[in-house]
Amino acid sequence: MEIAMNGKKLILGLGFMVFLVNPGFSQVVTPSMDPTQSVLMPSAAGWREKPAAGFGYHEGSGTRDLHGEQIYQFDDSGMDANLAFKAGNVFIEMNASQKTTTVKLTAALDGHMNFQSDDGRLNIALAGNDFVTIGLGARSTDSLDYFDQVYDSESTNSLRTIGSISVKTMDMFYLGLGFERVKEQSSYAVDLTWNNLISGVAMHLGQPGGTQFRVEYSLALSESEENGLNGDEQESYHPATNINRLSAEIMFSGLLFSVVSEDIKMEVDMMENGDSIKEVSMTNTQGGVLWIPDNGLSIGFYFLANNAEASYSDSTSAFKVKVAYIFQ
Amino acid sequence: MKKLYLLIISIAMSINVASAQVVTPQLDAALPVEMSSAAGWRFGSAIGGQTSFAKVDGETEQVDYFNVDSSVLFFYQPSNIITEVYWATPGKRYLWDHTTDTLLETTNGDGRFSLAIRGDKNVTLGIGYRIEDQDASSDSIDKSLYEGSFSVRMLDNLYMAAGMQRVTEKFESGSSRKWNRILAGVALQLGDPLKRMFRTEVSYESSPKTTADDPAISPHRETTRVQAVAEVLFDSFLFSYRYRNTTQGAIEMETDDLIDVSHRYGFGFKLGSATLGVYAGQGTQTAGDKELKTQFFQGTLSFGFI
Repeated sequence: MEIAMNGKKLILGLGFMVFLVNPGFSQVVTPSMDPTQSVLMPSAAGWREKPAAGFGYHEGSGTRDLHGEQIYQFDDSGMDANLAFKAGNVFIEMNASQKTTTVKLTAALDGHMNFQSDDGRLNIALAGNDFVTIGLGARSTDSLDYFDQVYDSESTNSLRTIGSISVKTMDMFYLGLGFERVKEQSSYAVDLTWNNLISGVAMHLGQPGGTQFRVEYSLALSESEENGLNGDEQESYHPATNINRLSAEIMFSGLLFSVVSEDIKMEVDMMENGDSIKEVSMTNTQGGVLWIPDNGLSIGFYFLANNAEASYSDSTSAFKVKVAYIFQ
Repeated sequence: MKKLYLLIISIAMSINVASAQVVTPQLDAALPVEMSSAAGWRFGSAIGGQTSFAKVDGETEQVDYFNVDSSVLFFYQPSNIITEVYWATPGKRYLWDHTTDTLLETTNGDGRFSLAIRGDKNVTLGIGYRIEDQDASSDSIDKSLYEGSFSVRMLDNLYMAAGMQRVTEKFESGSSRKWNRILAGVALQLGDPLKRMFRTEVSYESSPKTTADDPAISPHRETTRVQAVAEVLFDSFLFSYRYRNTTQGAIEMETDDLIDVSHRYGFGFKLGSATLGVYAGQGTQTAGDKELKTQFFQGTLSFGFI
């Protein structure tokens, strides 16, 4: 039983990875008015207004507390690049991001930490008659992680294939639905595959060049999945996961104000650092201001905050600057 | 060693000659902006320079006039995109250890780059990067920050701005301190920059107490700063006044905050595209019943071109 519990503890980290690599500020039903913000569901790319290429750099720091005492300090930095363009009614979007975290391990305690992660995405969407978009996408994530003093430097790759559709109604409302198949391979556990179901609703008021307002809410669900022990490899376990995402944006005089939040909850049953844990949660928030011209140079910045709760409590904050070029 | 870290910016405040502005730039084009978005309100393009001297007078130690630094500033706006570059020669500072009332000489360098975009004549948005190194006989600190900010113009003459700077200090040992500094301000500008103009600005900045990843290094003090500036351009004559109040919170075993209050007065003369400025100021730092006084003079010269 203890072995199984340990296995669940270890694999739980994998569920977190994709959120740590690139928090879910990606958009589900419609794209952000920030042309360099990537989409999560490929069909959202079909509502892009302008082709653009952008680059971002962020730097942050944080702490981990356990039983009321600070045990680790984190420093992280990363880059991301996004390219979105269209040919006729075909929208293509590519995104790559990289993040490195430096942690001073004063003690080898239980608890997931990501040291390095690389993320790449390709989304293709077809738009039809300003009514519907349908998209296909692929996403690959590589990460290097710490779980405990035994599994202290483990690599993982996850490959996601995504299909989604979104429709526009009454000129301002958008509905979206997507399905994501995730296959995960790691250096220490058996392979695991599971599905995510994502749906959302959005409202976008205003026209390009004028004052615009956009709000979007989405929900992603996945059931728990297990794969048993195999030789020396650990059991794999994906916990039942519930993700709520909310974003709001307003743009006037070319100035975009954006607020995005993501709330993740995972149902678990495990021991970690001597505590019995039933739920692991994480909250990511991002607020920023950007200059978005009709075409030409765009710059902006974001504040980011992350909080995670398991047997430990993580709190990190970061600052990101963005430079992009918007094409006519 | 620990005291050096602890005091890194305590005295720099009184003799900070850059006098950088948060919302809109100063009318003297030789002085840099603090937030990049302020560069978006520059008038035309210009090149300028300054040199400054200061004197430090403590209860037990004094330093007669010394060159704080000399700097060059260049800003260029061919369109609604403005770039600004500032570089100061490695200058001299004195860190005040108020617990022993002693001064520690340091050498400081300062380089800044700002990129701003002005949109619809009503908004600006800027990003910036800055390096500021400090060398002392005992240790050196590489300080860098990058920044994002925006400002909005309302009712033609009223400006509001806000932004954040991400500050990193790296020590020779490899340890570091990092924190976020929030800045905000409001400014009023009336008149014609080529004839008669009145400008005033009030700004506020704040950063939290932040510990280093090495417990042997003292934390960055919780810091707040309030700054007010008023300037009048009257044909060829420029008059300027600046008030600044900086409070750094007590840390560790200290009981008193460090409070730094400074006043600076300036006079400038414009002749064609050239502006010559002379500034004089004084500051007082207090920590409980301990006190340190500073005096400084600054000369500026700039040439504007559209």
